[in-house]
Amino acid sequence: MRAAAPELGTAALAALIERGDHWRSGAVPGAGDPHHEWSHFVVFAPGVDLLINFSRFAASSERPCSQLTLLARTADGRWRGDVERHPESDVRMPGGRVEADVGPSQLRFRNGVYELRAVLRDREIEARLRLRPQSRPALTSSVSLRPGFAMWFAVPRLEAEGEVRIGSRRIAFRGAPAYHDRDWGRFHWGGDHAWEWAVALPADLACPWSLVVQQISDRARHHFLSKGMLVWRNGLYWRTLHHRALEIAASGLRPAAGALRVPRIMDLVSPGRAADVPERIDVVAHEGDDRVEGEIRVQDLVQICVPNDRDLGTTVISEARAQACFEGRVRGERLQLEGPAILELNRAEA
Amino acid sequence: MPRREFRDFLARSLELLAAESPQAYAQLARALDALPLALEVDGAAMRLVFEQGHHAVCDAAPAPVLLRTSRPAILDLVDGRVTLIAALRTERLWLQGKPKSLVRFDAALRAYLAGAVRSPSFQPLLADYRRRGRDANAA
Repeated sequence: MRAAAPELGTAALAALIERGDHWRSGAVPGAGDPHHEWSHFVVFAPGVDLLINFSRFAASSERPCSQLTLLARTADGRWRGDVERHPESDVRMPGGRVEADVGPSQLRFRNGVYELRAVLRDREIEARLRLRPQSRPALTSSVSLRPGFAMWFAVPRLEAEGEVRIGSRRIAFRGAPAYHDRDWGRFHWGGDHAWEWAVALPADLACPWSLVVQQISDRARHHFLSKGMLVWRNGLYWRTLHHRALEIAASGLRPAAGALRVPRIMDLVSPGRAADVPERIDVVAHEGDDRVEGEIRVQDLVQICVPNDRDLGTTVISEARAQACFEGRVRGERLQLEGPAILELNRAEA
Repeated sequence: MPRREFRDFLARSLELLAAESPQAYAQLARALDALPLALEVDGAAMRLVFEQGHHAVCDAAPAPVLLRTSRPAILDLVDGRVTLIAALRTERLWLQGKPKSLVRFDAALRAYLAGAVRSPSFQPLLADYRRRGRDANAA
């Protein structure tokens, strides 16, 4: 994990983001495995949470496919939205640039601020957002998958403002916590891997802490390929607690019956209702004088279904809205974080 | 006069599947090998036949499996507004055949759908099927 120098100002921070947060497309080494890349945003606003994802994938022998995922969760715990693929004639994801156009949806990075317009074809949901980075970005080293690898560039905390329209209802907000990352690599959906990943942000942006927990394993979850808790404080990368320092225990089983599954056609393709989503995840990280304990409690979920690359099965990515509560001490500072979280689980079905 | 939209859609979609999702097409062909399907959609009857790994959409004739449905029911299924079980229970989708044949039909349907979501050209084809249906209703 590398972090930016702490003394960076807004312009330097923007330059740093532009250097790392851009489309790789054909520039990712390796030829045999499909190239996957996405730019992902999570916003926790009063009355509505948003998951927005601009993505592209290409097998070496096929033309690329690009899609937009737009999911909105209202305060009653109901998820709406869809995953929409767009013809390449309506897509622009220029290599080396942050920006993207996928149909009528747009991502821009201007004057150090992410500007998003995300809209579904039927116009049922539309979001117009400005997200200002509140932390320095971090770039992970290559994460091994089976087969392949992935890289990950994260801006763990942003301040979001904007407006979301769901049907005829409009929700405007300012000062909402948000998260952004970009992932790219060569791997197979449906490969011999599974993951649990969570981001937890404080409900009150005055709280200095942001936190990501992840573990990647083989599909059977017997062997861990990577495991870590990443901690940011006051916008600075603060600490990673690695593999052996970390215990992650799942308990309970969250039923998926009635959960939204997107794209909608995947309810026909993969009608199974076994979600393999826990009710709760307990985390203990302990290394030297640093110790963090906490829990992530699942409230509700949406499932994104991705066709496997090499077989006719499906990978189900469950995005669970959760509530996180962590406390401890890291590098001499007392950590307390209570707020919204997204827990993401990747499970391949044969 | 019975509509041809579904017959055109089916024929084109199978050609796309063969070209863009050969693995799914081969699985579909295996499931329906020597098991013709009689299809009735919006009153238009046709027969789907697979022989030696290749398909043909033919004129109507009796077959071991009969599927009867409508364009609105198909689109409600595709858009997740109704589940397959609910469509069968409410007879928006009518399926008739011996249990062994229906099991093979189920495997065929899953292979067809798995191929459809992997074929880049399927979405515009489906959009065209929606549009032609709307145009026919408006006429």
